[in-house]
Amino acid sequence: MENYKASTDLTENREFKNDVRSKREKYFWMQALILALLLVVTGFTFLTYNNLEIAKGIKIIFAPFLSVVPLIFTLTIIREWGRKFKQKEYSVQQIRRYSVITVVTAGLFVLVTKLLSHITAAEILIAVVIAIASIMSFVSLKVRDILGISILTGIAEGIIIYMIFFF
Amino acid sequence: MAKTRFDIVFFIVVSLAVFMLVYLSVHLTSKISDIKDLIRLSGTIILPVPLVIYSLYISVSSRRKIKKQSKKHTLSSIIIFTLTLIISIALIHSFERITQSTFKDNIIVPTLINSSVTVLFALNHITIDDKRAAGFLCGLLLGMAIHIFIFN
Repeated sequence: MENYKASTDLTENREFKNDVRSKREKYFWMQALILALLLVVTGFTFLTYNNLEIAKGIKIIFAPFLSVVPLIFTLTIIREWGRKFKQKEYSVQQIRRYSVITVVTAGLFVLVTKLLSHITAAEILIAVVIAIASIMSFVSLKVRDILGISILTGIAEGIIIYMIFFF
Repeated sequence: MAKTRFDIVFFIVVSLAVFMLVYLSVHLTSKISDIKDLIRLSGTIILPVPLVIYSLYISVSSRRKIKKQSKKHTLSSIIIFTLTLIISIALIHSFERITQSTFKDNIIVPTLINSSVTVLFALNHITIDDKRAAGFLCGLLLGMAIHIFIFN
């Protein structure tokens, strides 16, 4: 009887752990999706609000490759390295450390968005936005951990805070 | 696996918050002149969402332990609810009196409070289920709703 109880406890525990991992994955992709939507909205906002014009049409084709090529290069080099989702519980000290990382990233990206608003050429704006998008996709493909989600949250919060209070 | 029950209080509070959000945004979109205000309004609506997903990501694994603890705090949550209701109404009145502008026509503050309260209430209901925090959030939301719908 005790043996049976222990085995059911074990399977329940394993189920809970798998549940935690799949939920973490779901939240991670939700955050990445929100960030991608925010990047698209900011790009279109700056394009229309600052009345940017495309001077040379050929440049706009080459602008994305500026940041996509390094991304593909790094992805091919570090194919095996990568952080995975964990089912363990985080301690208070760890949570504090990662929230400091989030706040610092948010402050950094307020400044980055302020720089974005001063850009006068459409091609450079597209290149910078796609560079941020490639950082985001690198993080969401390789750093699938609390570090990755704190970086994503910092970027999203920085963009939103700039849009509300400084735009 | 824990069963998910249908909670009537949660449903009422969230529907009130969503109704107020729709009312405020419809009211404010008539005042918007350029794209800047539209971006600001949508930014205030979406601001608490990434933070909440972040805290859900952290607190998924520790959900079971905390849910067992909270079965007290019924009386103190009622006291906190009434106190927050009165204090929030008084604060909004004094705010209007001092700055000489209506609370409803301000773009940032009401939508920001509304969206963050909604999302925090849902987060509290999902994760720790603390009654005092729920009382505080309900009081704040109901005070704002009473001020917007009645005292105008």
